[in-house]
Amino acid sequence: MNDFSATLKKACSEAILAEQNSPDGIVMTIKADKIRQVFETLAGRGTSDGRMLLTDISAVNIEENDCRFELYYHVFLIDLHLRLTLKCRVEGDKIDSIADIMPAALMPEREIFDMFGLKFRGHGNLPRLFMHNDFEGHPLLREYPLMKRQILLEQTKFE
Amino acid sequence: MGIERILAGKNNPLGKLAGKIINLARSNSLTPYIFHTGGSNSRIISRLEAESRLAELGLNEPCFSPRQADLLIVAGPLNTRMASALRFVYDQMPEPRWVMALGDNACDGGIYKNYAVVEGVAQIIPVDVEVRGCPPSMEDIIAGLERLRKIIRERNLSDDYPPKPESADKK
Repeated sequence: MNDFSATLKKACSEAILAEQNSPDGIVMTIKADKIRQVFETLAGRGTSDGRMLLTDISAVNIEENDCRFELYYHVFLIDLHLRLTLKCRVEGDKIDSIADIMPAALMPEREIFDMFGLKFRGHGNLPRLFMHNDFEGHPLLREYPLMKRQILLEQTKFE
Repeated sequence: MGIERILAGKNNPLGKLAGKIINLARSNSLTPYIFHTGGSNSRIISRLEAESRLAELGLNEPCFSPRQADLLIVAGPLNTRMASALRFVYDQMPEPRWVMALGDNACDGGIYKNYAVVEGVAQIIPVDVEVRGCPPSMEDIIAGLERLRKIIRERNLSDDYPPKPESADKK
């Protein structure tokens, strides 16, 4: 486990800000603009076969110190049997997509765009996932009114 | 259907009696269509069918098309995106039709009140009977059914079939 984190730190020393051990695995805080570098390193790791799962991407709308969002990338490294959580804070509403490195990120990124309005640069197909097309705003943002309902009364045409 | 309109006519002496008989027949032969939305309430109906004899209360077997049904049972929380589907199902049902909202989730959103859930199907379609409870007990559902049958029996035939307004040509 220590070998792995040392290797990752050496490969992308600028990207990783902090590291923390938790009972479930390792939590790493990384820079938002270096997210692609970290995933490219993870996908082609020299020490092991590089097989890993991107389990999920989750987000929180925090409004502090010019940071709007905090993203969590939940990664499971199969050969090391290690859970790795990559945490990054996003300023503004844009971040690089990792969907071309990890195709498992396609759906979670669409879901985060739908719920939070966070745009992923380089994600080829970014329409709404859960809410209907006439829906205005993004429901999990803090500025979305709690009691606002947008009911779809016309039949949806599926293409 | 034509004979009901004649019976419900203004000066028909048989109108009241015929209305009573027709309403009695209707209340004893309801054919439900169950609009499942995936909540736990929709399972209650199947259990109810198995455990109690609903035919004695005038509920037929559920049918598989809204076009043959006269009672729509909405069970479970309704998504904002599903609202158009519920409206579509309701529009296909023949007149006269009744709607029962089953469970807290269908009545006002229940524990699922958030941006994606319609707070009460009454916003989409007219609801005759609301059965509360999450999930409602068997007794609640049977009481709701009894209440619906009472509503049906107390209806006036002339309300269903209002006399045709005289056309403007005659005047």
